[in-house]
Amino acid sequence: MKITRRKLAVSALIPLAGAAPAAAAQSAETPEQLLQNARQQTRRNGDTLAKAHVPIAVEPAFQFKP
Amino acid sequence: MAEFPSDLFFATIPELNARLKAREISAEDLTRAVAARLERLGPRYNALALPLTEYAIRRARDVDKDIKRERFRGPLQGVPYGVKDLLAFAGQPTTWGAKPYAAQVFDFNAAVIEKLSGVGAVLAGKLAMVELAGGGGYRYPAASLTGPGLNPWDRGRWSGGSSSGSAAAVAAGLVPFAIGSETSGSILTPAAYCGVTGLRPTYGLVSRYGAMALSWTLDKIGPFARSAEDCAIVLQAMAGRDGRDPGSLGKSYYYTPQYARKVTDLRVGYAPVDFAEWADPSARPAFQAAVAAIKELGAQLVEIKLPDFPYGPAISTVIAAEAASIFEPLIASGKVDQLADQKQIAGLKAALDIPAKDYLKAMRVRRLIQEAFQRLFSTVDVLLTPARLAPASKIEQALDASTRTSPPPKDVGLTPLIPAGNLAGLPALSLPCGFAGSLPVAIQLVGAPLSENTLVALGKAYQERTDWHKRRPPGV
Repeated sequence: MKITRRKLAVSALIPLAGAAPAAAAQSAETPEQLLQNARQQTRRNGDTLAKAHVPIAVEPAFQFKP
Repeated sequence: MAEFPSDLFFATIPELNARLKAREISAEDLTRAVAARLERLGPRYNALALPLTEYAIRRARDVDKDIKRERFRGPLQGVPYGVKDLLAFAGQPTTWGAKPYAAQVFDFNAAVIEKLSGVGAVLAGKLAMVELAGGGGYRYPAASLTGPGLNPWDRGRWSGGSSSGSAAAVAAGLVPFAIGSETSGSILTPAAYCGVTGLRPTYGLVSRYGAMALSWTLDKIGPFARSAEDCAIVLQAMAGRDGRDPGSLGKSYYYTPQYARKVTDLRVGYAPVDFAEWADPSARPAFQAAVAAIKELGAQLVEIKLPDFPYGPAISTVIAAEAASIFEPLIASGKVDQLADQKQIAGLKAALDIPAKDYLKAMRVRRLIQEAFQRLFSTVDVLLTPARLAPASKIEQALDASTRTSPPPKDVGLTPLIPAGNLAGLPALSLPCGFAGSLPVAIQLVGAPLSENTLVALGKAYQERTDWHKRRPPGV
């Protein structure tokens, strides 16, 4: 699935405190389907992040220092 | 007990403080009135998790003794308030809004409650929230132990999440101020939907000791109140170093309006596409009037673009991975299935499978985001965009269903500012700016880390020019 900036912006607008899956889901999904959808979304997020270029020297933002 | 005019329930903190200090009202009478109103009207909005009336009255009596002896402790002395039910309060249930934790009781108080108690504020009740602050990602407003948060402006609409009760209680005049928390949008969203002012502090400025953790690297605690100035007063009392919170910045916050930068010196970055195309058509007139008002204050408006990063996937991955670790025992025990929202249950379970490489990549992207925002704030002082693009959604509406009737614009503008600002640890202020039909809408101001005084100065100037923050929901 191709992730565009527009799709990313739409996913970022969902008013959730927690993770914000982008795709609208059917209301009658079974728990198994919901779990599968959630896993797919997690993978899509990973795929998008994998495409982001991060210089090798950049460390994770574990410490926040303004 | 004294008869209270309804105006008193909508008074600002300085107004209440002046009347308490002058002994026109007692802290006990004020607390009794507020607690009674909270107990009576809180359930109407599913906003009340736990009344603490008897405790509050005892505390208020102590405050009255202090005031009688002229032991003044600041503007919050004798002012009742409520806290989101993710903050520990000794000896009473702290449910985190979730059925699996309905009987949870801690034997200590959250740092924020300690701090507010130290300046004489009176805790009147615990307020409802989305279960586990939304960890896992929920689909419906009903994802809460207390039912869906109902909006005081229209009970058919959502009050927003995850600090649903905190925002609704302030909007309905049930408490003068309330404490909520934000991981990504949980202060700004309910503040906007309920038409109250909300302040998300810089990451690490307020101790999270005693607060439910959803994401250690993102969680912040902040106030909802009647004005930007009230938020600053509450933040001053709450902020400060706390060795018990590993994320504590070790900084205090002092509300110093006398030293605030002049509004005419401020460069405000914005993207016209947010207001003209991304915003719901019903909200555009209010948003565009807000931009005009900021301009009329003398601020220099500068068109800008956000740095290009995958904000949504980055924040979703960070929250999900940290939440899965935090709630692993809940998930492993099977008790996660007691949550109200099926999508949230699935989201938490799926999050256990996030590879370390994805989490670390998200955190490395986050470092780049923080650096990019440092550069951005060398060109502007404040970012301005709608807090939410549309007014509160209907209570039965799925939150992941798009309501757009037209294709989204090509330019993303500043629309990812909620995840971006949270990833970068930036402070934000939500200011009511008008109505879309009968529902409030709001703008957000975002600044560099520790720039709360700048945001409050601009917010205060805006609120001196407008009266949206003084509007009251019908029937309260």
